[in-house]
Amino acid sequence: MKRDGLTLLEVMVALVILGLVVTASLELYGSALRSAANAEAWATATAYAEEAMELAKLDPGSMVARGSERFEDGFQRQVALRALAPLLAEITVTVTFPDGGTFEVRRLRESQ
Amino acid sequence: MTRRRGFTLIEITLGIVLTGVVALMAYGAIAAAADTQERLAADRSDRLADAAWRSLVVDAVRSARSPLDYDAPTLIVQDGAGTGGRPADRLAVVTSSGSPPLSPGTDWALSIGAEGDGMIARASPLGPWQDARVVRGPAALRGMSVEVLGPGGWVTAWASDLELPRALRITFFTEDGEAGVPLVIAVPAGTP
Repeated sequence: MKRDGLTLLEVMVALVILGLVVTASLELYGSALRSAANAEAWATATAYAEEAMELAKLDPGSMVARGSERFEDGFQRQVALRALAPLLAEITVTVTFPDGGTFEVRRLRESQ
Repeated sequence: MTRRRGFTLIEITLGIVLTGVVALMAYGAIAAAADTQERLAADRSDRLADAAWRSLVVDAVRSARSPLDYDAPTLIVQDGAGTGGRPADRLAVVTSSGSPPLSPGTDWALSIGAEGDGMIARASPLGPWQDARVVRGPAALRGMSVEVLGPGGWVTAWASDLELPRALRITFFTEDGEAGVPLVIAVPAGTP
């Protein structure tokens, strides 16, 4: 007896296609939200770095003496000073993101 | 009687119900997408407004004129308190900054502080005539606290007709408390 209906293969192909479309659209949301959170983290990290660099311009010694600072929102920051030449020093501010990445800002400074 | 070929009532009902369910799910997904899009756009414009506001303040202070050029204080910090004990300091600076919304070619008397339930920066030209500028701060900000690094350390007010402070530290406040990382600006010796 011949039964009308879809074969197992047809049903499976339909389900796979449906699955792909749904996953792709969810992934799109996910990546948009992630990039927004990313932008937020970078803005905060830059603000921490700028703050430290301005304070280091005024008094590098005290910033170096602070060592590694950890903030409430999970960021970490450290300032290092390296003499390059008799009157030239390099200030390096390293900011560590809560999830582990780091970025550095460097600047040359005349040292007395 | 011939056998009729076609759908039964049950089949059609089932079809309509399924179509309805799928349409509802699609509508939900589209609404969620539009919502996310709107939230991201608002988030982005907040961040841009915040960056523009901070760069206005930083550029103005970095290009502050020396008091000796004007025989009067060119950078004044007034300590103040607003509603609910929130700091409402006011910063006034004479600056040669030419970055937007200011424009080059003249010195500007710029005054920044809490007004009403927001923050406002007002700039009027001191030299060649230009339109005065009024800029509203980011909507979430309610006030700021300004500390000044003088010869003897950090103080809360400044008005010297001889020298600029060495640095400013500005903390912005929202309804809920401090907004972001304080802004520290090392002040150059004065624009020539």
